[in-house]
Amino acid sequence: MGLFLRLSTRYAFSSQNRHRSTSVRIALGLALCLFAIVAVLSFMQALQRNQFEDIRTFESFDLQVQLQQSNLEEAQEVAKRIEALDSVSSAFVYADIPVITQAQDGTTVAGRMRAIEAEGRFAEQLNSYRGTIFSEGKLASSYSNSRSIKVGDELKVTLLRKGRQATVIPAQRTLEIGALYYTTSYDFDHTTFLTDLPTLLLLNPDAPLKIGVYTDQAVDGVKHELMGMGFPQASTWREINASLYGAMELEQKMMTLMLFLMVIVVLVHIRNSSRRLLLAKQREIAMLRSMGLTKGGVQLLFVLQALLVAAIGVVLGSLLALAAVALYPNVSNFVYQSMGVHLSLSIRNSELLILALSILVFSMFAAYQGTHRILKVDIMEMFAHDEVS
Amino acid sequence: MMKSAEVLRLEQVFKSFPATLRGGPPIQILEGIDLSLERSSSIAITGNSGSGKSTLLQISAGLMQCDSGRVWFEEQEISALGDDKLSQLRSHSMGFIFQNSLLLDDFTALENVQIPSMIAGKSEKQAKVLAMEMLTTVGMQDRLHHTSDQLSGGERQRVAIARALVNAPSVIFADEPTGSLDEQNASLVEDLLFSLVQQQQVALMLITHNYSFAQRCDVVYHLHDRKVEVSS
Repeated sequence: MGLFLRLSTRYAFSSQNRHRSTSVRIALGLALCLFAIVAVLSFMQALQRNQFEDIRTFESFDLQVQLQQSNLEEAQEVAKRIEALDSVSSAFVYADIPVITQAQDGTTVAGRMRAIEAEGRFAEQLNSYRGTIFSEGKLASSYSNSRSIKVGDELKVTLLRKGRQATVIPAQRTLEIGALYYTTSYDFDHTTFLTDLPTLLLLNPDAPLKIGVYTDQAVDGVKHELMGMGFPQASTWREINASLYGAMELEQKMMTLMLFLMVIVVLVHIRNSSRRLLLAKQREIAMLRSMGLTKGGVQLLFVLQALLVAAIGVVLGSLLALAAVALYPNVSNFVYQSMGVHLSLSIRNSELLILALSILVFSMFAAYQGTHRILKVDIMEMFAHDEVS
Repeated sequence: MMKSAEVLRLEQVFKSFPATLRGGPPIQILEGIDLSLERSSSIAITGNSGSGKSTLLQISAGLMQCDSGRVWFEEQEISALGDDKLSQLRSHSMGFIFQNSLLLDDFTALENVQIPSMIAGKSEKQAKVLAMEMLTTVGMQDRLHHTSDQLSGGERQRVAIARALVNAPSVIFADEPTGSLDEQNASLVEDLLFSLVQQQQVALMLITHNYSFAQRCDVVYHLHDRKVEVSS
């Protein structure tokens, strides 16, 4: 084994190796490919995680329970009962009503008015830009609409009704903008006006009240618990956003396909590089064979060499990826400026391990296959081939 | 079958190569070659360029397969041996010296001589001692750590001789060992090769087109018109 290790390390990276630059190119190519795959993977996962996090924090919470009545006190009582559950982090009353707003400059926004007893993650993640959010009788508009809607402006609000038919002419009210807020979800910000529950119920006493629920546990388990408490209309965030969740699942599948293609590119790179390196070493192989090295010995030698080159590439690629993730917070502002999202990158060890192992195994296989092909010819033909090439 | 004194025997060996033009007849190189080499003796094969001298050597050493016929080496028919046995035979009983002093370019002179011993199963330390002794014998003790490109043609060939002899083989196959050297170096390498072969009692199969070099062997064969005949 000492002989094989000595020969393979020499053929891989020794300064005396004439084909060292080829080994270096292979290792660098592998490192960059691995880095690219891991970077894309963690970026896309972060984007998806971010989007899901926004949905669960602002849009539909982890779970929500549709109530049958619009009595605020009773609803608050229900929220307290739900919040008493061990599996629930916080529960609160909220209501959404569809509205069309018209700003003073004539700009209209079709969105919703949300009244909420801001608690839990919602309150923690909500950012106040100006004024006091949830002032009685006033609305809070988002910073994303601040070009046309400013603090102190009078906003015409047309209250719509859900369903196929409006039995009364839509009511129109004028409300003052008391504050500007922003969250990390542009979609939420652009279409949502915040207010407190008494104000919303004053505008529309029939507004259906709901209980929003945050939990750190699996949402399906909490849903069953809620249903057991007598709330059959409890739904998880996945159910509420089924179409969006489906689209994102599709996106994930496409992402997997894309990464699969990237992996294929890496594997083709490994195969071609391995063949190139072996062809360059053909004369050496012939000499070793004439000295009495068996075909199996030659294969072991070049499989070890490929393993060594690939291992260095994999380690380098992994270090690059880890360094990029570690350094990312320093450049996250640039990403935010161009993409509008704050991402927190992470690398899943299991995925990195699978990628690294795939590269190592395929490198060994490519070297084995390459030497197998070369060894089919007579020793003297190997000498002649090298002279020609 | 081989006689007890023989180390190598060829019986009715035929070899042809595919035609260079598509559809043409194969080119016959060797036709019914019978040849033998006795232990501690030497034979030379001479002939014109392209007559098939090197092919004959390669077939004798099991580096190339013949179309038909039998090749016996140390009482084993090498054309019937599997790769492992043949490799073992090459490692322990054969030594090669090629025209272009083919050395492992990524390794030093010492390593070039050390590696065959390690392939033969010796430890790194043992192989190193043997290699140093062998390189000292061929006068290369001051160039142990030089790589192929740092050595002259004559020096490379001396390393190749040391490498061929390091495992104390029973036969040395030398294919035009002085073919690419100037007269002075060629003469030095010739002297060295013959003195070591005699000293170590190794059989030698020499391919050369240099008649005076060939004459130093016990028997000289001339390869002509695809057949060998003992040269006068």
